[in-house]
Amino acid sequence: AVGQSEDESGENAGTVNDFAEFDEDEFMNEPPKKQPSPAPSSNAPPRSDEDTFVAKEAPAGGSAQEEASQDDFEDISVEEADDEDASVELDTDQYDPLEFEGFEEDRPPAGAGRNPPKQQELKIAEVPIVLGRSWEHYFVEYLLIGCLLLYLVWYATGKTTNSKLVQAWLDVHLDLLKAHFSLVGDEGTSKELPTETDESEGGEKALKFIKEADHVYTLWCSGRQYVEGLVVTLKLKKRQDLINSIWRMFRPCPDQMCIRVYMEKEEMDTFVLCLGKKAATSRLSKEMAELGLFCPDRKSGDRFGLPSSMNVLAELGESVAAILDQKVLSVLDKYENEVDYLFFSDQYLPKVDETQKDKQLKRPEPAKILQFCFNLPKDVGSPNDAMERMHPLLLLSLYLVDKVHRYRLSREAKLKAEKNRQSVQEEFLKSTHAQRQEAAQLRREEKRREEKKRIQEEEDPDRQRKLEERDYRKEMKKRGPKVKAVKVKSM
Amino acid sequence: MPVSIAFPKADDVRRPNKIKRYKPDMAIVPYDDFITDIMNILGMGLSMAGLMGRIKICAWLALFCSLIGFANARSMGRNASFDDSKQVLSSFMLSISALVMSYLQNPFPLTAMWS
Repeated sequence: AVGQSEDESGENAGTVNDFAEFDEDEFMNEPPKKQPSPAPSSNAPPRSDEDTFVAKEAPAGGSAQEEASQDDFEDISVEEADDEDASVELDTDQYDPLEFEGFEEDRPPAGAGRNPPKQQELKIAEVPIVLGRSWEHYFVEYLLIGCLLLYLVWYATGKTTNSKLVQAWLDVHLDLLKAHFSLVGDEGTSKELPTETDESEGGEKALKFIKEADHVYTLWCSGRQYVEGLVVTLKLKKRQDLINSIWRMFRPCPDQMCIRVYMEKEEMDTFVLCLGKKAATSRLSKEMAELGLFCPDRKSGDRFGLPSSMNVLAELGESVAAILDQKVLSVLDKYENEVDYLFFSDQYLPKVDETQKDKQLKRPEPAKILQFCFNLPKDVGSPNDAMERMHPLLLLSLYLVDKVHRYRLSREAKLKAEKNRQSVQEEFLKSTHAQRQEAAQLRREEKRREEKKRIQEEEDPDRQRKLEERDYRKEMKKRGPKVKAVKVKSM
Repeated sequence: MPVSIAFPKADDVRRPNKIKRYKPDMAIVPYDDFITDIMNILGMGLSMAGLMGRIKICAWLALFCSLIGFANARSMGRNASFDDSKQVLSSFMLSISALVMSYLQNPFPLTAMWS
């Protein structure tokens, strides 16, 4: 009977592999069941132990396997463990014969009819693993590992293309920057300055972009007239991120070169001006607080000879005409789709997140910056060609720096600007009035506590008494007059 | 063909004495890049699910999340105003451990879970 059951279970095993996708319980109901009622899984383990012991001699291993597979998978490992234990027990013959003294006689009568059952040669049925853990079953895992590898390869190639673009930008613009700035590329961490000699020996240390992220590189240049420093930020597409690249196929975004110039305090007059593509200016007016404060109205670009796709946000009308001279207009016309926005502001304050906002008692000193943002052309082949087109725009930015330095506001424009700044300052003071009140209160209490502490620490008693008297008199003087006033009114 | 904006070569515009050193807050770093943070938090949540509930799919998703977080990580460099390297490293460790644990405890392939 045992042999026969093996084929049956073997054949079952074969079907099991093909139907691995089918629901496990469904499979269980197919084969002709000897015990129809599926034992409830809760008390299954104890019963199946005793069964397997019995099942070993008489019926085929199949039934044990059926009960076993009815429980969930954990039990299967439990089931196998029992098999091993069971077989281990049987091999050891040291069990005490006396213990089984009366066992032989009271065998059930049915057994007595046939010749006494000879000790059957025990054969463990080769139970096939129901769910197939061999290598070909892990095809979903291989798929996932494939995706992982694809992502990593995409990351590596994206990162290198980005760094190649940055290197191309550096090759094109380096000599222009070195002509204008005595310090190009500074990590800010090294104590000594990257001196000229470093650069001449091809010291790559200094002449490198700071890598903010795999797609954002910044370069700091300093040491030029009228300018404290100039930051070039290359904000490229996230080529290193597969998901973002796919997303960008539907909503494309260009590589961007942003140039921020920190002007010296006395080199720039007080005006705020922003011109650029409509989308860019609206995004910027949300980002920069002073645009909202100083230039509420938005004018279209054609009035000033700008291409129609651009509009202007200006605090003072005359500043637009002064800045946009013939040269600038010609460059803007020629590179219309490259220019994103040009932003001039003498009231730039870095964005303060909410937590520090209320701690600000005095309005911090605003910086004077020019910020220009340009998009790299999309359809250009090699990185060098794309960067070649950026060269004149960097020239434009440096030209605008000198232009802003030469530009001085007319008298009434100056008055208007001053008035605006005054109102903004007052508004700020009003809004932080409460905080300043509290701060003053705190300071006063602090002073009084100091005073009390000093009096207690005084050693010789008479000076201590004198100090206490003075303090008491001061207290009374402060409280005294109020009391008098009340009395007079009541009479 | 660069536009002819010539600069007077005569007076050199450079001022070596007025050099200012770079400070991280001067850069125009795009603050809108929250993908790394989101992915790290998501990765941690999923790896918790994978580790505790032995759900293999969550462990795999956690690994993908930490990988995406790694790709978008900001400035692993020295002079970093934002440094994500620690966060990314921890989310990688967590997701890999979740994956290994969920396969050790229940070594059946993913298909078994679905059937």
